[in-house]
Amino acid sequence: MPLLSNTANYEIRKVAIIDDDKSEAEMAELEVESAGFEPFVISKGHFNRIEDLAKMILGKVQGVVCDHRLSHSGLANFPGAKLVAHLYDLKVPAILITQYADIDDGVSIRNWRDKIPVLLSRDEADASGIAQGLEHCLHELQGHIPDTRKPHRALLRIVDIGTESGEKVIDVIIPGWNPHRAVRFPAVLLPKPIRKSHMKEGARLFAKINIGAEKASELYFKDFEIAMEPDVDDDLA
Amino acid sequence: MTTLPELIILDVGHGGCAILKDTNEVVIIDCAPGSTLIETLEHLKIREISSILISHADYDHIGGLIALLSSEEIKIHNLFLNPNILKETEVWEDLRFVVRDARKRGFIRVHTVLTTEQTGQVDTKQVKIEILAPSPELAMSGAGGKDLQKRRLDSNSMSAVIGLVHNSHRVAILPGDIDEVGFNNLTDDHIDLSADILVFPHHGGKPGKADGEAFAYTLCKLIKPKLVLFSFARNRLKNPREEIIKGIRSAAPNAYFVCTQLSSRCADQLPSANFDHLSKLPAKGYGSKSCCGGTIVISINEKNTIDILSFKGHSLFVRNKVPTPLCLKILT
Repeated sequence: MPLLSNTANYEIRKVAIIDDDKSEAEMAELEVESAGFEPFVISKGHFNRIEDLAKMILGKVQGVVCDHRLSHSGLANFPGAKLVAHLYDLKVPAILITQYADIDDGVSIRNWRDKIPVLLSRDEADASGIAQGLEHCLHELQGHIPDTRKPHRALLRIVDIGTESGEKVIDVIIPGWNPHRAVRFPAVLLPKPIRKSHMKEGARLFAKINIGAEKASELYFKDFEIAMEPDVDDDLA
Repeated sequence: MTTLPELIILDVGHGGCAILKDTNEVVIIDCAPGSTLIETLEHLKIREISSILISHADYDHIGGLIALLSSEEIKIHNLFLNPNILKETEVWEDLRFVVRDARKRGFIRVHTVLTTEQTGQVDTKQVKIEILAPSPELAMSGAGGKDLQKRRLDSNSMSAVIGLVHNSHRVAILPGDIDEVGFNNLTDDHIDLSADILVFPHHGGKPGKADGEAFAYTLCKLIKPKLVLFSFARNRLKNPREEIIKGIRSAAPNAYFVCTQLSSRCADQLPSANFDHLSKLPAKGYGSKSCCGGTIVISINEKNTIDILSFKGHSLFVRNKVPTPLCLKILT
């Protein structure tokens, strides 16, 4: 029975590197090694089901460094973000790495951002970034959620609806976070009934959002609700 | 033995937010955006707020109200604010949405007026809360209107000015972002404005069109503060302005200064320090090591409220780690 990361004496010794790009995997292997961990590389094979890939590492490693885009060379037909979120539920510390941060942040990664404690760009994924990142993941899985990651019920206002990489996306302002910065997320995050009735410019919704986040790429959205229209006689108009 | 009330000035980055914590009651004055306020309430295990007072309708004073009213964990009994017809902004509209939501959840009373008439309505057990401005007649004109001397009023001129009185001694004045016009109206109505603590208006920035030094001098000549606090973000607007500090120094030469964050005027680069002089409460600048005073906690004890020794750690930090501290430079 593998030791769960939410126990106090959990120790990260061996770290899996999941990357379909062989040369990037080799680089990561060196960084993981110089961070003081034993690397275990998975860059070949094909995984249809997330559970199969998870099964291959569970009990063998105590930490994971995973690339987001895994389908280029056919390593997996699901994104790394989904795997990291799955590992989060299984209490395995896992870092997500992406070289397409600006493109993926608001769409494919946002889907699972609440279960991705650490997202690093390729540049940031050096030995110290990996060591610190795994420590942050472990800390969060042990229940010490930093203020930047805590969910709060917050209002959001839809300012635009569009399409990115073939996916319907919504741009919103979160006034309790920053009224000057629109943040994007995939429309699929909204429950179907809300998508049907309130997916329009100017609509207001409530959601659980980590409004303590410093950067837009850190924000996650879940548990959406419709915000009722203000009373016409509230004396605030 | 009764526990003394506390005044907490939060490091919220750019904006204003204070918590008055009495034995069984909590009053919040202004709600800057971000999660610092909610994190602080969580940290202090505060689940109920007697009253929230909003000085004026600028985003850096109401942004956090939108988050706070949305919260299902915190029960708010009363919200006092002056509507501002100039604020036909989406953020003001957002606020109306969350007010509706909070009212629907059935616990909040929203009072769309905060003038001198509300003095005495929001007192806590040990602290009398004065609303020193605006007067009802000024509020009747409102932002966009003119005062009785035909001077133009904007949202800063209309700032509610809050005084905190403990055992008949005024310990603090929190004047929102009051400008010269608002201040002139305030002094028309009040002769005695003395207070130990002044949370300096407009985050130590320009007081509208007025001369900064003269404004700061006149304000501090009347208030006679022993402690002047500035709430701002290090990376915005380069506050506090040098002429403001100069004006305060001329009027109140012995006043001690504490800024929530370390001004870029005082240190170009962030110093390496362990920041053990900071309170344990959440502070917006803590993660980025941008704090100077951070979140400031003051125990309210009538004439003995200001204990300069309690700022010893801060004073040592400024003297030893800050290369060009504005507060000390003007002092010497």
